[in-house]
This record gives sequence, C-alpha cells and structure tokens, in this order.
Amino acid sequence: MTSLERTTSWKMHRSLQSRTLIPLIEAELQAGKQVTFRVKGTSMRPFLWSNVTNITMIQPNDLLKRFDIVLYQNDQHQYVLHRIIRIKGTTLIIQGDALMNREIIALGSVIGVALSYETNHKNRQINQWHRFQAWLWHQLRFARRILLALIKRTWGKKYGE
Amino acid sequence: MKIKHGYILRNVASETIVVPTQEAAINFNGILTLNESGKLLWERLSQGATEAELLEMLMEHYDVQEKEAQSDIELFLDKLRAHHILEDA
Repeated sequence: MTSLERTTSWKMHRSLQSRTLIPLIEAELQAGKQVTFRVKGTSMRPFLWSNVTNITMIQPNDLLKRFDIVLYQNDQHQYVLHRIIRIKGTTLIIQGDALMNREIIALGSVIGVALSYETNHKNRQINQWHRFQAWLWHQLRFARRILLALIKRTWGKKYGE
Repeated sequence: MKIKHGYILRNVASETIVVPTQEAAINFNGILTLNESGKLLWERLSQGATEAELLEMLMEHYDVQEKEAQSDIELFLDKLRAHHILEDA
C-alpha cells in the first residue's frame, strides 16, 4: 500500500461521479427515503445551478403536477433531471429549463420528484409559487437563449459560472 | 468501540460507500466513501474492536510503519466520530 492510499482511508464522496452515485440514489428513493444530492449539468438553469444547487427528492406518487422537477431514466438509459411541462394521461412531456428540445416519457419511468432545492443556503420549496415561476419561464421559452445569456452575465458569478 | 447499527456498505464502481439505512432522509453530499484499508477497518469495527486490535490488523495486512498506521487509524476514527457512527463501548 502506498502512503497516499494510507492517508486516504476515508474521504468524502466529492470524487464520486454522479453516474455511479445515481443508481444508489435510485435504490434509496425506491426504499421510500428522502434523498438530497448535488445537481450536475446546466440544463436546468436558471432554476438549478451545476455543482451549487442541492436538490431533495422523494419517490413519485400518483400526484405528479405540471411543472414538477423529476428524475427519470431515458431511452438511452441516462439519468435525467428535467421538468414536466405537460401531462397527458400516463405520458409526460419533459423539458430542461435551459433547453429547446423536449422528451416524451412514460409516467412509470419517473424515479423521483423534487420537494425542494437549496442554492447558496437559500432553500426553496417546490410549491404553487415555484410552479408559477416555472410556468412564466415556460411562456418565455422562445427568448430562452437571450434570457439565459443575460442571467448568466448578471448573476453567473454567484452560482460559480 | 463499535460501528452503530443502521449503516451498510455498498460497492459502487471501485468505491465503497457508507449508506445510513435507518435515516428517513439521506444527504448524499456528506456521505462517506471508503478505500480498501478504510473498508478493512470498517468491517473489523462493525464487530467491535479496540484501537490496538485495529493497529495489529493494519500491520498484518500492509507494509506500514506502526507510527503511520496509528495516525491513520486515529484519523479514521475521528472521521467516524464526527459522523456520529461510532459508539464507544
């Protein structure tokens, strides 16, 4: 054993890739636990910021609402954290807040639904007010690229961008 | 001293992760991961062990100076205590 190994007989998970962590998160959600983890990726800006925002999720119940943030596995078996923009029976239309393309998924493929998220020690619930903000953002989707560039320029530093 | 009940080890890729099983809310940002020697210490501690026994075990498994092994064990135990997962008998 090298001395490097010796001195790191314990360490925090930061070195772990989310790809390896997410199956664990999924298992805990399925066991009925509430789980909190750090968001990776930029597709949910301006609501969620990569490596800054912590999101808290639970297993989905039957009461998924429009503009909820959900974790699911897509056709390519990738885990994705995006937003429901429409519910049609057991089909969900999903979109990342920063993206232009949509995905259609089955209700059953949802692994988790967000309860709250915390960015820079500010905790926000996913409630009617949040869903209203998301609705408003959705209405402005055609100007998304410009708005995101402006937001990034104005507040990006605050979120480590 | 001994590891408290309610924690299990899960292997993910090449890492071993300590998962609290009895907590209703799990924060993956503060979760502990173990490497090979950490896992060895954990497994010994889950049955209960003294510091001397841990030292003996590390010295048996690894080519390491007693002083270094001692300080590593203390570091490891401090970490477990900080996470409140160790009970002193």
